[in-house]
Amino acid sequence: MIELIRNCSHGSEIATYLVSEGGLSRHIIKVASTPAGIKNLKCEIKGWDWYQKARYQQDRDPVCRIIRDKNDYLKIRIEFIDGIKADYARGLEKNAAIIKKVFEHYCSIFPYYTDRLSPFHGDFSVDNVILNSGGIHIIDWEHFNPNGAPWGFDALYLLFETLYFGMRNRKRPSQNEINIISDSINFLNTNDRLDRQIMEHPLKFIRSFINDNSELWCEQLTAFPNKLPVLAFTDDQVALIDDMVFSNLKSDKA
Amino acid sequence: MKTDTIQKTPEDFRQELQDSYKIITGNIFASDRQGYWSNLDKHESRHLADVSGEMGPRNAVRKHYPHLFNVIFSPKRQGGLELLNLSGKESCIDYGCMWGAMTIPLAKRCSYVLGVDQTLDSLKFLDARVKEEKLDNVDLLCGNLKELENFRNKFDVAMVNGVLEWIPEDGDIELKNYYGQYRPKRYAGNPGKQQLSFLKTVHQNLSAGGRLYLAIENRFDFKVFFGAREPHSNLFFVSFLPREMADWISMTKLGRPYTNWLYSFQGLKRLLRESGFSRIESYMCFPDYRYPERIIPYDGSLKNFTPTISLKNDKGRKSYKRFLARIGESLFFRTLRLKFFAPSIIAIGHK
Repeated sequence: MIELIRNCSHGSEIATYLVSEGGLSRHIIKVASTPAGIKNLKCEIKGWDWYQKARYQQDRDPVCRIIRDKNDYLKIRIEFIDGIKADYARGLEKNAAIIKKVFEHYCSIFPYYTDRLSPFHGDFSVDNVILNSGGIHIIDWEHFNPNGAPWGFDALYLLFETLYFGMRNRKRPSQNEINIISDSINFLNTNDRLDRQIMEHPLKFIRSFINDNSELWCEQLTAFPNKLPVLAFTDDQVALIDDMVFSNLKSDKA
Repeated sequence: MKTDTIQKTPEDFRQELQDSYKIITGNIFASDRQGYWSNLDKHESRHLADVSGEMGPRNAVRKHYPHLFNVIFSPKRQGGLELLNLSGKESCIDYGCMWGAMTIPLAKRCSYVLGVDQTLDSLKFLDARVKEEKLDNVDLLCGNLKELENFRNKFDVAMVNGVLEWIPEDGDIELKNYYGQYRPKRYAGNPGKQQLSFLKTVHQNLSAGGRLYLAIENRFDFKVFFGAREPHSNLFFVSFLPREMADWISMTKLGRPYTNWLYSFQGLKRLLRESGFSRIESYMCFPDYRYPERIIPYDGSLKNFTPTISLKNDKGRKSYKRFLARIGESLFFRTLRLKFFAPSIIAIGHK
């Protein structure tokens, strides 16, 4: 039994299917037949390959593999990972526990290099994280780049994206939300891996990085400008949030 | 089991076409039964075919007919093709292929595709697309879909995408000068019988074990009960009313009977069985079969259904009608799980 679960959403050119083969056996099929879609699926294959190696440190059966690659048509199969997903619409406070686990996972998987950029997920959202008895699993590697962004970018992105959805009808974040953000940033910076610029203006940094490196998302940002919700914060909100976070970080330090 | 044990190549098909039809140009063939059906009027169709040859189809549409860009090129349109789980060795026939929204994606997945349409200028445009995509496994035939009886047992897959409901129409149709407009007309036969006869020909043209992909709006799409117009006639309620009553409304408003017959899930299954298909898989399509966001087996579950109707219209503006439709969609399918009222149907029929 096959079911289309996502079709070229958010400016992507990839269709995603869930295939059930009786009982609990399920897998995901992703298909693309345009240059942009195929490019993203190739990133997905590389991303899974990198993630599995980083996660398990040993050879295992691939989670993601090519089924057909012919005539500008690419079809890949990804093993289904059962578990629960957080709901980004619930915002930071209600997702705080899972975000803590995701940050621990991020720090244990994503390597920090002093001389080059770190691996980049590009759509690191609580919606792309599955939690089960095996721990955290990151999915949807369509924008993967092995040396794409400064260390911490994806984790910070997840934090501010969740904040964005949580404060949709509010102009300013609550103090509790700011506390969660500053605690998370402090956790990321345990080994002084974050630049001073990021510590002082984390949200501004995220947005500038996206604007300066939009090619990492191919044409998707042009086709669907709302793909990355952090870009929808107003300049005033960015300044306010960064100020509140930085004051919190300073007082934590003091 | 297939009747032809030897896999046919595109050259074999081409040779057969050359033997039966006249060559118009390159890989376009024609019977002596051409017609006209297009969203564009004849002058525009000719213009589109000409400029697509000069500047390439994508650029031509983007520059001269931007409102058709997604209709023709959106990758979303091919979302249903994976239901066929194609191996790459199939030979396919695309009935009513028009500008190739399904022909091109099929050609990328199969060994051969014959696109059939009655509008020569649409095929010339499609030919330019085939060349732009550098595909060498596509032929095009200009002819009447109801009279294609030369292909018995030839194809592994038949595509009838948004075509069945137009089969009872006859004469030239310039949709922009016809849709919802008063154009008195009389028809020779019963629409249901014509659709059945067409599907029987489709069935005959499939090889043993061949499959039909049929996509059509649901006669009982939930939206038509809440004031959405029937999408082929632009009239209210005609799809689900008794056929005689729909005829009367259509005669009064448009001067012609209502012929774009749609079916329910069960009705379509019955029609396909009557046409000869032995096994039929039905799928619910949301928000419609042309740009599907979700396709769910009719036997499957709506437990995880999330609304698919966008709040914004084609011009990017939010509309209250869409907002209400989205609420209705959520209520009908997420809460009440009323599969019978799904907006569109895709049926896979097995010979």
